[in-house]
Amino acid sequence: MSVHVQPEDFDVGVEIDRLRRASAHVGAIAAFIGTVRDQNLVAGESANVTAITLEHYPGMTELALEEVRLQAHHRWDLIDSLIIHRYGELKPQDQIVLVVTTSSHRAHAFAACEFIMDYLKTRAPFWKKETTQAGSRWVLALASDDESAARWDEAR
Amino acid sequence: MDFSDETLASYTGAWGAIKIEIHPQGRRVRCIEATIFMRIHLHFFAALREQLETGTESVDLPADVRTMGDVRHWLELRGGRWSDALGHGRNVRSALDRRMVKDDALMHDGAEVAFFPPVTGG
Repeated sequence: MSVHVQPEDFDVGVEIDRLRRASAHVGAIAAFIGTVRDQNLVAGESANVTAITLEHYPGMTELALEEVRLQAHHRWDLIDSLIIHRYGELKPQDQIVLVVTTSSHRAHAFAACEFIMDYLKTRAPFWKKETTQAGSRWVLALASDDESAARWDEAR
Repeated sequence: MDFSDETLASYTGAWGAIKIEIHPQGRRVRCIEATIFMRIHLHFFAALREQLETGTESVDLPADVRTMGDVRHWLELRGGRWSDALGHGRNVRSALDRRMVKDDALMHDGAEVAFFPPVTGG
């Protein structure tokens, strides 16, 4: 399984090792890890985040991530890829998401990794709720995320 | 029921509704209109779920509610927090059978229909 949606933490080293050993053709491995920040800086306002809760849509989340992964394989020359995304209660500095891509070529591994993250941010059904001293509130989606995803849209 | 003249009658059951015309002289019944209910299963997530105070709900769709847009508009008609949350201009995404769709997506019996705010994962 190359897509995992789970509450448990993951070990980046173990996952990368597994992908590296899977094929001798692997010459390049790119990885991205998303973590929980302790501050949410929104338009000049900042607040210390003490915890976040990630809600997801069981069933659709896995499907959406798998679709993003398949698109990446279709567009770049990848040997393999892995997406792990956590849900539930997380604290600052906790790991949230891991994306790993392997290829014979670094350009493909890098680009596919960034593509998967940009598409995941706008298509995967997760919702973050931040808790600060002032209480809990839902994080709003950013226009910049839509822009990041749009730059990968293929010219028609 | 007095059947001395032609009579119109309607019957509604758990399955749907029919309108019939009864002709006592000719001893026949004619079905004028039959509607089978379409049942869909609604799911709401995150801030939208909190605002609507509803996580899941199963509903029978009226005959004229056929698309995702129709469903959203039909729910808005409930008024109050439903029109506040789903009304025109609200940033609400929709999914049908676990795939993101637009307002023109067609409903089917047993459809899983979800409404939620723009996603914020990663």
